[in-house]
Amino acid sequence: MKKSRIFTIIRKVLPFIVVFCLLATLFIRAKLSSSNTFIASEVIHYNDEQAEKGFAPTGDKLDVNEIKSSAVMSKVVNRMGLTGIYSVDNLISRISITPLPDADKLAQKEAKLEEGEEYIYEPSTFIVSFAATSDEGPEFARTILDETLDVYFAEYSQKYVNIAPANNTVDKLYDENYDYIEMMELIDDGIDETLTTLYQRMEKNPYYRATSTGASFNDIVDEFNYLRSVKVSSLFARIYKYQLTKNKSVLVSDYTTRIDNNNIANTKETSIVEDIVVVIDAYVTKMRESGNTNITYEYILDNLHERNLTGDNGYITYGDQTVTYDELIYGWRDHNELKEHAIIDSAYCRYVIDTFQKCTGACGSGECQNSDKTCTELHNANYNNMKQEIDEEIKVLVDELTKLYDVTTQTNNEYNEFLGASYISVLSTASVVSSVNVNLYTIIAFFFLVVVCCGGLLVIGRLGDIIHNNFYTDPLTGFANHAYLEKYLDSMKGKILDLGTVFCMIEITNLPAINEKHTRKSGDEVLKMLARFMKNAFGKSGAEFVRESKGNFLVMANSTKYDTVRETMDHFKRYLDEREEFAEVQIEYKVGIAEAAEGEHTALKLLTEAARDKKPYVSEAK
Amino acid sequence: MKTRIIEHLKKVLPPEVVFTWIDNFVIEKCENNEIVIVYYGNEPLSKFKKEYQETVYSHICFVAGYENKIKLKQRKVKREKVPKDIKEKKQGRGSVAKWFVLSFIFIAIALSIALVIGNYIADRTFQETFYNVSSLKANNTMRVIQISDLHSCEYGENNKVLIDRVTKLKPDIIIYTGDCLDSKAASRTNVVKLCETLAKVAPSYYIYGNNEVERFYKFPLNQTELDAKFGFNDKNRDPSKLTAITDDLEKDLEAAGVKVLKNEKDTVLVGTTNVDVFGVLTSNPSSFWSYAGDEFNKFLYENTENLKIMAIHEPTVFTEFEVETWGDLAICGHTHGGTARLPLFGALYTHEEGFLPERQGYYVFGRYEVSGRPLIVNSGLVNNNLLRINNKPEVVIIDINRF
Amino acid sequence: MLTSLLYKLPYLVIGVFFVIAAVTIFLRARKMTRSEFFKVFKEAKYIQAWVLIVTFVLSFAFGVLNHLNSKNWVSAVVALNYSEASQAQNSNGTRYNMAEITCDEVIEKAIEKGAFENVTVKDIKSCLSVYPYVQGNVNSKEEYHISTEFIVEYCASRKTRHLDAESVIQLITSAYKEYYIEKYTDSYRLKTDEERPDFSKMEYMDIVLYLNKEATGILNYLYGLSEKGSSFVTSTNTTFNSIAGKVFQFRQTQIEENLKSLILQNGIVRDKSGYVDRLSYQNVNTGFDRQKHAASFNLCNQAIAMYSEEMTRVVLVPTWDEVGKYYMGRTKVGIDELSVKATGYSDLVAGNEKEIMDNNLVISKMNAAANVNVNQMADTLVASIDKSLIDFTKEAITAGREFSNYKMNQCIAVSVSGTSLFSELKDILIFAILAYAAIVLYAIAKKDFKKE
Repeated sequence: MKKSRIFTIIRKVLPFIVVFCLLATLFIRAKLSSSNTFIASEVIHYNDEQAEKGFAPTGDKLDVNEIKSSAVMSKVVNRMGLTGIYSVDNLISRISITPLPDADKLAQKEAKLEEGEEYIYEPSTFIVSFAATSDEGPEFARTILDETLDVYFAEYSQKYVNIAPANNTVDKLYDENYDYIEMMELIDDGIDETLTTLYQRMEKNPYYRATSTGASFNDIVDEFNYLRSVKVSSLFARIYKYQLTKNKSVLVSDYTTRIDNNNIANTKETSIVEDIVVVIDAYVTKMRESGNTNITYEYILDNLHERNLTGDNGYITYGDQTVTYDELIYGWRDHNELKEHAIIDSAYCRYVIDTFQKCTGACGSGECQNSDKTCTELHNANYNNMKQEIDEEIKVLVDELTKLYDVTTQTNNEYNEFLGASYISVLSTASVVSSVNVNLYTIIAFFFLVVVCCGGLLVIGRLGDIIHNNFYTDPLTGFANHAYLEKYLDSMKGKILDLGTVFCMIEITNLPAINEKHTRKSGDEVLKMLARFMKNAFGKSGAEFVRESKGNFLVMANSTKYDTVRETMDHFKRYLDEREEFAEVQIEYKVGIAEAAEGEHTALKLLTEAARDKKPYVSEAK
Repeated sequence: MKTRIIEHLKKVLPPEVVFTWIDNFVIEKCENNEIVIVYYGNEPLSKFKKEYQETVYSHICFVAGYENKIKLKQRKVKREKVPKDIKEKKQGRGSVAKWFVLSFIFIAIALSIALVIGNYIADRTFQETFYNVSSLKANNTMRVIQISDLHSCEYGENNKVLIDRVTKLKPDIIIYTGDCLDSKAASRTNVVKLCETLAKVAPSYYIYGNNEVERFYKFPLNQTELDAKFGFNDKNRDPSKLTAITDDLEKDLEAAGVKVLKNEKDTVLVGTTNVDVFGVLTSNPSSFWSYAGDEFNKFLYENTENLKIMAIHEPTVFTEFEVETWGDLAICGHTHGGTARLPLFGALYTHEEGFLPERQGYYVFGRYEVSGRPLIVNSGLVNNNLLRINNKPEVVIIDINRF
Repeated sequence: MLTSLLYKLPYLVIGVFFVIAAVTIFLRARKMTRSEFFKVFKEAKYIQAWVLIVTFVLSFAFGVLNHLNSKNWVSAVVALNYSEASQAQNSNGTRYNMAEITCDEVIEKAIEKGAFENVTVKDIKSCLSVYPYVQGNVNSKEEYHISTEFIVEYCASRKTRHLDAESVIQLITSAYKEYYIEKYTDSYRLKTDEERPDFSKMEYMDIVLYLNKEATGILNYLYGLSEKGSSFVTSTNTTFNSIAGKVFQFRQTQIEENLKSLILQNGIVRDKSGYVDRLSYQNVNTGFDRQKHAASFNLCNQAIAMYSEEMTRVVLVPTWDEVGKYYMGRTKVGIDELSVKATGYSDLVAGNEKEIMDNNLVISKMNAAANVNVNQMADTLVASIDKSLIDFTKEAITAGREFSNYKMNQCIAVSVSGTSLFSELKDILIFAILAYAAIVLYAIAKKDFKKE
């Protein structure tokens, strides 16, 4: 039973192997699950044509790493309510950005570079990924990635597209102790500034309408203009008409200071202008003398020069190629404009001072001129009420403006998000994969363990075979020896043999005589030959052969019949009779066969029966 | 060994021999090289021995060994006193089936009782069924709560539980689609009190069902009866004569702040949306168009930018008539969801439509589409019916928004 | 934990049966031959009454517990039907964020809608999970996918077990739809009465400004819609441009011509001195602006005059014009820019002067007319114009909504699915088979595998 012995052992131990492998697999699965990470990835593409040259729409260098900047991540942490739970750096460290260059464009770039031409190409498609631990789960990865990109899109637009947001200038109105006229000026200037920004938006996208407010930039502009035309101008008019001021002296001195400041500024500007004129004259003279100005209208340029220049830091930027002379002229104009505007501003300040200082005619003796109160204040009993009214109306106006600024901000923020989404498109929404395929590895681990355990058993079994070969094998014939037979009988004690088990005993009865006549060596050779014949006779039946003692052999066959074994022994007998080897040796032998009946025979019993069944035969010498 | 011998004999001998003889063999001894086989039967053993002894003996030896001595005896039996194992063999096949059937019947009865009791207990509370309806006319989200077929039942003392929940659900409109007062109820106080309390929560409308009609009109509102009552015919019919009739319930409800709609509409502003609610009194198909048609058309075709909700007690008109539109939303009750509801088949039975009405295409429970707009059939709040199985009482909450 | 153990109890019971049977068979079969081993199974009784009864009882218990357990798990599919969804955008063009389906605001809304008690946003949020129905892969272009359908799963926890799972998921998805509609869909609306001004307290010319502004607002809305869908025809057979045309005409005729002329010609003003003062102030202010613009204009001209002729040399450049025609252009120099600026300032000056002249005209009209502070005809006209504008607004909103509805295609579709009866029956059947096998095995192990 040599070959099937290993498998018998494996079969016996298989349940334990399976249980052990299952437990080990569960342990491995738990370990894999705990060390698993979930990676959410999304593919984004910058649509602006400058992006392929590595620039943002403003011309600044496009830095994709802004996605994982602390400005963006801190907003994400705030939005998701993770403050105190996760640190910004922790989340940043788990974001990765991988460029996806276009293969065609890369090939083009290489080809052009080989030819010595310049070709600028930077990838404009990127994979943005976030890794979450197994505890956090795949949803966390997806959510963080979504929020990060949400915030980044809006930030991108704010930084590179929709720059210069409309600021609410009226919220600081009550921080300083402004007079009424100053407050109104601040309001008016604020509206003016806001309108300038809004007109820019209107130009680019006149009909954009935010869904959060239901308002378009057009609508907001109209509202501001309406407030300005109706409420602001109405308040201005009342303040001027009734000379409403908190403190006349302070007001007058403020505006006087403004006039003085303008004058000082103008002095400076005048001096600058004079210097510029000198430079311009000198420049023109030099250009004339050099002959560089002798360009005729027939001169035609071959090429337009490249717009881009390489700066000192190696970055490519737009070059400013404005002619120096033009710059000088513009400088002259700009400084003069400042001067002129300052003069007009001073005139305005003078107008304000005159308005508050003038006598309305109620004073007979002109006492208001020397008083720190205005004429209306001196002579109108209702002055304080009017001041209160103006105060309240300014507050109402400020409230209305604040609401309008909120609408503007909301509209602008949504516009930012809209632009962000139009400048950066999503090619593939967030997909989550686990870094380790836990199920697959679990299955592999299980089968691996089963194979290893069975393999281990096989190795141990082989060891057994080695032991078997050394201790349980007859060296002459290669059959199992008596010790093996004893071990076998021991192991089969009390066990019933399966139906189909047949024992065949072969005894060489004249072995001593053979040894004596033909020498011991020949006797051994004869035994070897007999062993060979037995093996041949039984072929591949899987029978086990035992050399019980000197001339006693036992053949243990499974799944066979008495008749079959008898026929096999007939073959053996024929081998003996027809042999050419040791033909001169007469061999006398006995053969006994016994078949195990169903549920009846133990090994010993069968052996006994086979022994009892022995019949003598002779193979004559030739 | 004994078993092996018998099994071997069964295999090698013909079936009739096995049945007549071998099945009655018992091996009493099988040791010390002696096998004693006793035949428990009244057939002459000699007959068996004559034909089969040799065969049997050789097979026994084959199995047990040739060294055994085999003895075959007979013991006659008077009243089928066969050993237990033989008896069991014969009886075995029949008893399993009997047990199985008995157990099945017992369990089926037990299950049925448990089902009825379980449902009865479960029906002490009501479920809240949410529906979403979209209409472009809705400028803002609004919520309509429909209460139907209460039949004077109570949830909590003075319907406290029902009132609490409806209040917390913050409806914009509450519509009672009939049969809230049972025709046989001793008093209408609890229903009026319920309506009065909820009228403080949201504008409320009450539509009469067949129970209210039975109690206060005392005759069915079909065309024949109505025409007979008022002396109308097709040419001189005046529906206002019907709606002019008032009753105590209507007075109580109006006093409680609930508008009773009898073939008429009312408009209520919810947020920035105007909502027209039309309540049908004559929900019988024969009298719907003749007595409610004019008002219904006015409801449909005047102020078309208003959101239109049609409230009616019985859903029969929707099956009987095909119209261009019933409004933006239609709600009704009456069917009680079919009382018992079977999985897959739906309602088991309704009075008007018979068995498995949903399979026949009638509107019994839940949400349907009629003329391209939603129809919601409320299964009602009545819970005093033991046969209300798999059909929990419900309050319907309908959220209406633009999309 | 106890509850989850309870749900697993039937499995535990059949597990115990199976383990006892397996161990018993294993221990006793060691001493048997293979044929004996198989013979036992061949001769064993597989249909036994007590086995059937125990199996039935266990299956019934399993069925009930499974049914109760399945009530705590439900899922819904949220499908984005509008066109921008396929570009991973919201309907207003901003980036779509799936996490909003279960954001705090939505859950709060759902709790409010369902009047859920004894439960917080955090409790419900921990029971929800959202993931795309189909997710792509970033490994290759062919596998890129933009998800437009998302699965929302709700699995009740101890804290939320008292809520009906199907109602929860329905309300969450419904709240999300409302949230989405509020945030991302066309929200142009009619002003409420609180937002409308009281005309009786406004100057008539201010009323003109206000009505003009309102009419312009309607026009802006319609032009915006027209840009997106110029060929869209409403249910009343109008297009956005046709409605805009009506509004434009109305504004020109009724507001600019009729109302304004009536007020100006009759000098209708509530507070003449106040209004005149206001216009005067505006003139002063505009005057200063005019001066600044004029100064800038002059400076540009001076700069042009100053510009040395030698520095004005230009060269010809082959180029294209705006319509793509090839022509010979010339290089630009400073005076080109100065000229353009000067023209700009000149326009501003003209604008300022017109403003001043308009105001002066109004002032003169007001001063010339008798003191009419209330005029029935003007009030009637104002009321009628206001009503017409409200009607135009409603018409525009209706048209806008129809267009929105057409584009949005119901915006978001939700389908809720719990555990169906069939799947429950399937689970019970599988359990019954396993239970029967385990118990029969136990019976065979105890009875047929006798100790020898």
